[in-house]
Amino acid sequence: MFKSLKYTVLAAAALITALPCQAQVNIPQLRYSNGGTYALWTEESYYSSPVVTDLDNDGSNEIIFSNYSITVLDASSGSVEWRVNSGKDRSSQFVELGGNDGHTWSDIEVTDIDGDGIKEIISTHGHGIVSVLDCNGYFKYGWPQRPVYDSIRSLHVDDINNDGLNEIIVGAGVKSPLSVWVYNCYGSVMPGWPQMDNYNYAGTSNKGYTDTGWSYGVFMDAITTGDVDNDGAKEIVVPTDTSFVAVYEANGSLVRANEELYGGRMWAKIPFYESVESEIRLDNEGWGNPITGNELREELYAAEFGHAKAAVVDLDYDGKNEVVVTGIMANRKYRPVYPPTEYMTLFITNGDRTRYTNKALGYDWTTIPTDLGAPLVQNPKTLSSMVQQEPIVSDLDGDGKYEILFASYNGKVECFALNKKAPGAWPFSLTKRSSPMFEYASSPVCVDLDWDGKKEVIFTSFYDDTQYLTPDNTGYLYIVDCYGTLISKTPLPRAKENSMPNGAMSSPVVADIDSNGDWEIVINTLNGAICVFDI
Amino acid sequence: MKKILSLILAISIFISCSAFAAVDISETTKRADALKALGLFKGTENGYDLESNATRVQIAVTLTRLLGKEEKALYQNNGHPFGDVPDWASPYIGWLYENYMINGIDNYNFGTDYIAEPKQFVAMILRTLGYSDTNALDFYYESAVDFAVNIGLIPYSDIAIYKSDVLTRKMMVDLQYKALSMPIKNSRRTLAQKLCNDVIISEAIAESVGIAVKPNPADIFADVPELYGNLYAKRKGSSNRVVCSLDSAIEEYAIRIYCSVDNGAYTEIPRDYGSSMYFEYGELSWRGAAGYVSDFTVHGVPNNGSTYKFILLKTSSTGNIYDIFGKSKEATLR
Repeated sequence: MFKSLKYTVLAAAALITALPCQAQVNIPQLRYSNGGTYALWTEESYYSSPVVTDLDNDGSNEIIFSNYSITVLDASSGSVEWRVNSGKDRSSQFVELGGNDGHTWSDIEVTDIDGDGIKEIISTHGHGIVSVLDCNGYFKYGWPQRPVYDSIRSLHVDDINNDGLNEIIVGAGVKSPLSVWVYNCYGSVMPGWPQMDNYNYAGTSNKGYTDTGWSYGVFMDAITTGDVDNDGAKEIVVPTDTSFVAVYEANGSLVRANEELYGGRMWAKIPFYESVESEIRLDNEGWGNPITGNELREELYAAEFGHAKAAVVDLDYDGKNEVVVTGIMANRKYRPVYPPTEYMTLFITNGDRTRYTNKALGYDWTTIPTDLGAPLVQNPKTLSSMVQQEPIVSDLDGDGKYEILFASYNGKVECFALNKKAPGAWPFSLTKRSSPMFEYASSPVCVDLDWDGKKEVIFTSFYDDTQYLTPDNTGYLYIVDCYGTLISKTPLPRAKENSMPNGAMSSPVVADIDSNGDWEIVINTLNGAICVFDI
Repeated sequence: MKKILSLILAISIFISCSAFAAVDISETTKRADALKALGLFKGTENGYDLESNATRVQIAVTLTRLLGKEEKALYQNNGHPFGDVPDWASPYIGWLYENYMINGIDNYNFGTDYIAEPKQFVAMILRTLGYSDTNALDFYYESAVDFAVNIGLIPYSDIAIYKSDVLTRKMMVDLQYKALSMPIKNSRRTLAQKLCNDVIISEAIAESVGIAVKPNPADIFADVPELYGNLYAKRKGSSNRVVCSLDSAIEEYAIRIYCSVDNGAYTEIPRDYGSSMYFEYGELSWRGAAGYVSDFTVHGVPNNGSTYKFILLKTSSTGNIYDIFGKSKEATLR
């Protein structure tokens, strides 16, 4: 009997090995967790993803992350190499409790900003701190800076004036239109900044309709750069806590929208409405006429970009960039206090702020995807309203055409092809009707994990904080194929403290951390700091 | 006695349904053809089977198609808690269940083969149009038919039919077809327009089958609100030029002027100088960057004793004729 069984097993094994090798994505296996926690607790994380890089050029990768303090780990083992309090450097003694100058909201950046061939760590924090550390943890000359005393929620590093040195662009969660600063790599505010300083208010303007714009606080990692107006130079794109997206030249001047349609107004004066007609009508300089109660949704549904982000991409490879921006569709009759809001969606515009169409390719974004689903919880004080609205533009299926993904407060990851259809099984629902928990996704990342020419979509999850959460609620690491079908759903490790739930609001990072030729996934979890999965 | 009453009731239902089904069946067949061309309706193995009663599973599948989600339902293959749903229908029921569009007859049964009640399908259609019965936000489920009559989805004359206990496939098609031309909740956009915008149905097919008919504003003047006050028409001397003036200036985009000769049909006057009759704007006044105008000169109006009537109409700024804002009062020139 055993002999026959043995032959059966051998035959099966032979059959299996004879099958053509099929690419597949393995189930993630936890390598380590609690990387960078303290002995008894850990700092709570927000939206800041870790960075995997060889920081000190010693041939092995580090993981650099910041929740409050800035921590450098040996990537392979997760052991702490060094750590500094936010707002401090290694010349100050590290203080575990009460030593930080504010939390870290946005992603940190690790790059060579001053062209000396050595990477720096750039981070922003609550209490208005903008920090640049060298690779050993000491402040670079001219840093830190503190433009405001409110939380810095957005950080973007790019060479916007094409001088070979990187500028550091930050946005603050302030109750003011003056919310964006641009620094040179030596810590000086660039000429023409901060902005927006030439704003005005509807109905009370004495500055005219042109050359001014609307702006407010930047409450999420909103800032991006790109050549919006296709003039060969990069612009700075800033959705703010309004229905408007400000686009600035490097010198702080506003970029003009389509002259014929908008009469000389700037990008920052053109509102985003559900209805393109309302957008063009510019009633009350974009804010809409006072509500009488008889308005239809065409007049009422206006975008809200408080937690939004844009992407500047040449979507159709015609040599001209388009601007993709995600936002919440709010109902003006409830202004200025939300909720309820209606749904989260995305807009695509041309560089001149007209809505994007390419009739030859069948793309028409003069209308937007509507009614995608209300937030799971209509409460501005919960995490439902804090799902980061970030458009991720990627060619998922390798057909040469882009798809656009974003995590939504409806508990789904939405995905749209440029023909405005949701391909395959998209959207992907984290929260099912039968689910006991309201679960939201982090911003997804798209990587071809199995080298089959098609990208997988990787994201983590977290729960709505109106729900009763236990330590068993750990959130998940999801891997979904390019058509929106689940490949794996792996629980994240438990929180450092036994009583706490876990999850991850920041995007996972896919990298080969130990240079062994295989991908690993690095996640900054809510209450457990860094964990690493092998796949 | 009880049996006799049941028999009478059954016969009366049969008669009423048969009578309804016998009316305009050819028209409903055309509507079914249109819906089928758009991919929103399919028949059974017996064709459209319009005179049969509709089951709950049939209306669920029909609704999925009307929402343009058939492909998505098959792709996602969502689960549901109902044990009485056949395999072929499971993706449809799963999608609708997951998206809060349906409930079962209890926690474990959908009631697949139960004959559907009209109010069940009416409620589904209302939800498709954006109305909600959750917490009676817009309508009560039990009075869905009344609400549908109020918004013009069901003609008042059909209220008794839709308040019966039996939904026929004919009623299902008629209601689905009508829904496409209804504005979605609190919007000017019809369901058909929304489905076109969302790339769920083809605009060309929708126009070819008559579901998205490009409106002729002259035909629908009666429905357009008079937002722009009086319009006065005055001939310049004995020339063939007529000046049409509004009480007050309006923003200068997307203005159209229509003319009727001797009480004939209104036709649009182009702004094309090559036409025998055309119009041009008077002087613009500027408020900020926006231009305003109150006078228009219509050229090519013969001074031949005919009676001319003019109406001014304004669409949205894109000039989209589907999106008419309002009109002036009629001006008469004798």
